[in-house]
Amino acid sequence: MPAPPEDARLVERVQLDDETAFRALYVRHARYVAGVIYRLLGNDSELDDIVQETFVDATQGLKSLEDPSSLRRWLVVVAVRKVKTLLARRRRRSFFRWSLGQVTPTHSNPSDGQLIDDLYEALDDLPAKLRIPWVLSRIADQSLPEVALICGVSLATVKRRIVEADERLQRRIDVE
Amino acid sequence: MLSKNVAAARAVDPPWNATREAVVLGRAIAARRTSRANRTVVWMLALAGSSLVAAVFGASGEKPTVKPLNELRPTTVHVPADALDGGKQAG
Repeated sequence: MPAPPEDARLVERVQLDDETAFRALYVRHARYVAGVIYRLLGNDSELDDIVQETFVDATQGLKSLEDPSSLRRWLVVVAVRKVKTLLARRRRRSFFRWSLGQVTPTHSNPSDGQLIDDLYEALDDLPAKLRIPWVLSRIADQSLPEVALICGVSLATVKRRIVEADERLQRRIDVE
Repeated sequence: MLSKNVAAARAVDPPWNATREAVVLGRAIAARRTSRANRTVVWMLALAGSSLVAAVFGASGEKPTVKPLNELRPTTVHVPADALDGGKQAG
């Protein structure tokens, strides 16, 4: 993950309530953060809300960011927390399965669409602690050390969780 | 089999474009402004509250300087300046 030096300057200015700096920071990172959130959720029904909340909360909590040049990772950490909360809420309401049926990702190929739907249906059965590191590593293309930092667990734990998720997904997809 | 699903999911572009980005930015800026305004109100209320507490209980614990209306006051007798004793005795 790149650590652009300009981020450090933007962080300083945003902490002084500089709205122009906030806009610049958002423009630099919004697409990337939206991509990670979209891949974690598997649909875009609440993508806008989570991107918005991520940037507002992340910039208000910048004082706890130890290394300003790691801003992008910080944004992903906040986004992952938001996604985790949303997944828990969806799980409680048993709403996610219905929602997935209503709003599917945009695919060019219908057969790909079925493959993706099957995958996210299987992911719905995984707890967030397995789903999030698995998606970050396998679909969002994050390195394992990066996933460990984002999830706030050790590298060994991340590896173990990804292997467990692999096995459970494999079993589920094979059955289908 | 899982690898096919993964490849398909990786190939999907997130539905994010300039219009959507601008709309979310506008909402985020509005939320930040609201949050900042709320924080200011909270600070003002906290300041007003602490001033009120200080005024009611008194920061140093001194008694109030206003005397009650029914307190007995010393009587003062005014002596004319042309009294025979030169105004040495009062009353």
